[in-house]
Amino acid sequence: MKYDVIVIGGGHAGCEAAHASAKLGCATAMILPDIKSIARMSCNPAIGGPGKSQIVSEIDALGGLMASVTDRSGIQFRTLNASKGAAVRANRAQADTAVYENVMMETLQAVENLSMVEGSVSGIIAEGGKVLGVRLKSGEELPCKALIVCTGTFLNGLLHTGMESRPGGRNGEPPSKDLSESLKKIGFELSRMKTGTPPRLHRDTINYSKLAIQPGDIPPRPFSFFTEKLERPAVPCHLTWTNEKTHEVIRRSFDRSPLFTGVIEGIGPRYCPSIEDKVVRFPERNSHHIFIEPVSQSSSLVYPNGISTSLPADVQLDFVRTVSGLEDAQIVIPGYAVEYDFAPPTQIFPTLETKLVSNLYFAGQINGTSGYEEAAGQGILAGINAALKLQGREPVIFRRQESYIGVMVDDLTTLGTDEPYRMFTSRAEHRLLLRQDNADTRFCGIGREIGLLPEEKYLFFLDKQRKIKKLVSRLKAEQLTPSKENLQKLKNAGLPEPADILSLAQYLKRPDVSLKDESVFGDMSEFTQDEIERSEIEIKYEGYITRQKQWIKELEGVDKMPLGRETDYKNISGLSREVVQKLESVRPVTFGQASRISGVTPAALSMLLIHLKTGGGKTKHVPPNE
Amino acid sequence: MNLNDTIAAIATPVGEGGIGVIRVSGPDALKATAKNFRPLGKPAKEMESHRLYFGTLLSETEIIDEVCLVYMKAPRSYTRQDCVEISCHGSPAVLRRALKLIMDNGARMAEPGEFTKRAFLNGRINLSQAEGVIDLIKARSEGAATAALQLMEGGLSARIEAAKQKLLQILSHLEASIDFPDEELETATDEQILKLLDESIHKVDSLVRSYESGRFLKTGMKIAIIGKPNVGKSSLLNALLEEERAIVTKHPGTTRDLIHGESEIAGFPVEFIDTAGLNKSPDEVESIGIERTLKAAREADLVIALFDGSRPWDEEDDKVFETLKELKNLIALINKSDAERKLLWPDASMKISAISVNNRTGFESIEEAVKMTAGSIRPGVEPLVTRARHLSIFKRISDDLKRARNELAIGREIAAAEIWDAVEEIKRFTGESYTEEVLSKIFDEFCIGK
Repeated sequence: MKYDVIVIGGGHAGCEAAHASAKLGCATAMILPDIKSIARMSCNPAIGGPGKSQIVSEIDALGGLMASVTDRSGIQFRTLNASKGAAVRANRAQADTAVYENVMMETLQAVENLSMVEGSVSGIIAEGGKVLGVRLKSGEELPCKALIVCTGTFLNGLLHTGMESRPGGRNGEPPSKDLSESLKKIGFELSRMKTGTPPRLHRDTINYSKLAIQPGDIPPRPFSFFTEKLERPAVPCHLTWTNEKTHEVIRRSFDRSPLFTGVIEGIGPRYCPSIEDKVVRFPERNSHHIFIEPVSQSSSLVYPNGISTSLPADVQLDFVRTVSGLEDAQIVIPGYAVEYDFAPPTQIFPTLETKLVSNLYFAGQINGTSGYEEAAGQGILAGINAALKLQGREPVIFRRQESYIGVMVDDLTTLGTDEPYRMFTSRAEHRLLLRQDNADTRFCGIGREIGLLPEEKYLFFLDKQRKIKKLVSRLKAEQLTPSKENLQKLKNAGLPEPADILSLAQYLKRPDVSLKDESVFGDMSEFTQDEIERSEIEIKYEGYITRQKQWIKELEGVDKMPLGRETDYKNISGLSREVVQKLESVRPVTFGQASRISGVTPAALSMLLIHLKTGGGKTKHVPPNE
Repeated sequence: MNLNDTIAAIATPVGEGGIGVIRVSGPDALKATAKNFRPLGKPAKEMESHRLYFGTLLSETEIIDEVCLVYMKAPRSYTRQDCVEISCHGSPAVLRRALKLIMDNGARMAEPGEFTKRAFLNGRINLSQAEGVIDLIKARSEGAATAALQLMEGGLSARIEAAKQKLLQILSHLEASIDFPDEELETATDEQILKLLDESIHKVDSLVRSYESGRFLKTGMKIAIIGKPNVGKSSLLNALLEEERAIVTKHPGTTRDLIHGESEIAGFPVEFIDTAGLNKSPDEVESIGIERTLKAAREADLVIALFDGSRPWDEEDDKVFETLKELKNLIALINKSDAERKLLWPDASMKISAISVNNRTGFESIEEAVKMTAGSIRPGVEPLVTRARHLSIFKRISDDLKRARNELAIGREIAAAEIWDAVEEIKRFTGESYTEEVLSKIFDEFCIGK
C-alpha cells in the first residue's frame, strides 16, 4: 500500500496531523508502536491554561480535534484569569484521560483515508533531499510522498529515577534509538532536552478530608466553539501543600539526585521545575502547593501536580508522606525525568517542513516544545501543509500578528529554543487581538478555505458573527438619555450615572458596566451567552484594538519586506561573520523575521535594510517550499 | 554603498592652529599611513595598536612634518575599523600635503559625517548617539555641545534605558500574574504598580519638558532689544557681542533696520536683534523700521525693553510701554544707571532692573532672564531632548504610560499592552526597532546611496 502521508507517532501532534492530512484527502497512515496508546496524556490530565487554551481554540476553528475531544472527556472546567480581561481569559479542563483516548480513537477511526499501522519506525528513507518513506523495525519499508515526524519524548529517550536510568520513551514503553541515528545520518543536528513527571498515587490511599477542595466552574464553559452542552458530571480537584519536613527529606537526598549529580544533561523547563529544583531555588519558601488531579474514572491513579521529581523511589515515598493528607499515600508509579533528543527548530521552515529534506515535516517535542496544546498546534499545521504541498497548493504560514500558533512557529523557527518551549500569553505582542474568544473570526475562514472545517460548522460560525454584529450595531445606535427617570433607575441598580446623552455602546465601555444589566441594555434573550460576551468584549476593547492594529500596520511596512532565500549575506558589507552565520542558518523569509533572530544586531539590521533599499534586495522573493 | 574601502579626512577645523589631525579609517588605514611614516626608534611595521608614536612624515625623502601617530586596530576604534590618527602641525598646507600622501596610498576622501556613519553602521553607536554626533558637529554654543555630547555618549540613551528596565520590571509583575494565575506568586499590587508607573511618567515628562531648553540649545534663543530712539540699544548690542556690530552715534534714529548678532549666555546660543527705535512721528523709512521692530519683538523668545533712566518719562516711553503689553516674555531695563535717575517708572507691578551699558554693570539680569526663559534645566546637568524626533517619541511614551495608569483598573492585560507600546517606542529611539520612520531617519542623516 502506498500512502500519500505517513505520520510517525500517535500523540497529540500525530493525531491532529493525521486527521488534517486525511481530511484534506490524502491517503494517510499513522504509525505507532501500540495502537492502544493513542492520544495519551503522559503528564498531567489537563488541557488548556493561559496561552495554551488560545492554541486549542485556534485548532478548533481550523477544524481540528483537541477542543471537542476535551469537551467530550472533560470532568472539570475552569476559566482562568476570569477577574482579568477577556484577552487573557483562558480555559482549563481536567480530562478523564481514558475517555480522552477513546474519543480520539473513535474520531480518527471514523475518518476516511486514515489507517493506523502498528509498528516501530527505525529509519527515514530520503534521497536527493526528498523523503521517500520509512523503514520499520521488522525490516518492512513503507513508501510515502510526505512524512510527518511526531515522536514526542521517544527519540533516544532515557528515563531517570534516582541514580538509575533506563532507556524508554515513557514509563514502560521502549524508546526509538534507531530513528535518532537515522536523522543524524541524514544530516540533522540533534540536541538533548529533559522533562519530568511526579509519582502517580493510588486514589484510595489519600485522606481527602485533610485536603482543600477545588471545584470547577458552574456552569462549565466548553472549549470548542461548536460544543453546545457538556455532558460529563463534574469532579473536583484537591489541594494540599508541602512543608518544611518535606523539604528536609528532599534536601537530605541531593546526593542521589540525577539532576544535581550531573547524570541528567538535558535542559529542563524553567517554568515547570521539579520539586527538588524548587527547594533549591526558593529556599525562603517553606511550602509549595500540590494539586491532586483525578486521572480517570476507570483508573485508580491520581496525579499530584507540583511535585515532579527524579529522586529515588524510596525518597519519593518518604517526602510524599510528610504532606498533609498524603500520610498513608501509596506510590503506584514513581516519578521520573525523561531525557530525549530534539532537532533544534531553526532547521525547519515556518511551514514546519525541514530545510534539509523536502516533504519531511517535524511537529511537537521533536521541535523542542513542551505541552499537549503546543504539540497539537504544530501537528495540525504540519498535516495541513503536507497535504497542501502534495496537492500543489500554496502552503499556509500563520503570522505572529494573527495567532498563537503563528507566534510559536515564528519563535521556534527564528530563535530556536534551548529549553522546552511552552506558550505564554506574554509571548504574543498583540495579545489583545489574539483572544480565545475570537479565534473563530481569525481561523474559521481559513479552515474552510483549506477544506478542514466542515461546512455546517462554518455556517454556525457565520450565524454567530451575524448575531454579534447585530447586537453591536444595536448598542451603537441606541442612546441612553440622562432623564430623571433613567438616572433614578441607574442609581437604584448601583450603576454610574452619565452626565450627558451617549450611546449604549459608549456607556458599556465604562469599567463597571456589563451587558448583564438588563435594565439598561434591554432584553437579550435572542442572543446566546457567548454572543453577548463577544459583543461586550468587542465594544470594551474597541479603542485598544484599533491602536494595536495601527501599530501592526506601522511595523509591517518594514516587517514584511521580503528577503530572498538566495540572499548572499557574505557579500553584504558591514555584516560580521557571526551575523552572516546566523542569517545563513535561519534564512529568514522577511526582514521582520531577520530582526527577531537573536544575535542579529541593530547595526546588522541597518546594513540589511540598506542592502534591500539600495537595490541589493532585487533577488526575487521565493516563498518557502517551492 | 561601500564600507570596506579606506577613507581619510582632515578632522580639525580649517585654518591655522597649533595642531591639525588627519583621521583614516578602513582596512588599509595602517598601510596607507605607515608607508610614509618613520617612527623614532623602530620600523613602522612593528607599531602596536593603541600606542602613540612620534616620528617624521616623509614624501619620498623630503620631511613634510614631525608628527604623532596612533594606530587603533579594529574593533577598538571609533568606526570599529582599523583607524589611524596623525597629529601634524596645524598649517593648512602641511595638512593638505599629508592628506594627499595618504590618498596616493589608496585612501579616498571621506564624505561629511562618513566616520560617524561607519561607527553607526558597524554598531559602535546607536541611532540616537549618531544623532548626537551630528548635533555636536553642528553645535553653536557650549551648552548645545554639552547636550549633543550627552546624546552622543549615550546620556539620554542611558536615561531612557533605565526607564525601559523599570517598565520591564513592572511588566514582569503584570505578565506573571496573567500567565501563572494558579501559582502562589507574590506579584505587585495595583497600588505598587501605580506608584512605579508614576515614577516612570515623572521621569519621561521631565525629558519632555527639557525639550524647550533643548530647542534653545539647538536653534538658539532669539532676543530682541527694543526701546525709544537713543536709549542705548545699539550700544547694548555691541556690549553683549563684545564688538562694534551696530553703528552708534549721539543722533537718535541711527539704527533704521534690524541688526543681528550671535553670542552665548549661560551656555545658550543667543541671537540678539537690535531694532529701530520706536518714536512718535516717524518718517517713511523709520515707520518701515518700526513695523519690523514690532514683528521682531513678537517673534522673539525674550524681549529686552530698554529705557533711558537719565531722562524723564515722555510720550515715546508711553508708546514703548504700550507695546510691551502684547509681549509674553520680557525684561525691562533702565539704562544709564551711572547718571542721575530722572525716570519715574509708571507701573509698580512690572519689575525693572538697572543697567549701565557704558560701565558694563547690571548685565547679570540679562543672564537671569535667559535662564528663566530656557526653563529649569541647565545644560550639562541633565540630559536634554534637543530633537523633534525624540520629543515625539517621549510624548508618546508618556501618553502610553498615562493610559496604562488609568486602565490598570479595567484590566492588567490592557495596562500591559500600553506599557509594551512604550517599550517599543524606546526601541525606536535607539534604533533597536525598525519602522519606516527610523529607516527614513537613517537615510536622511547619512546620505546613503549617494
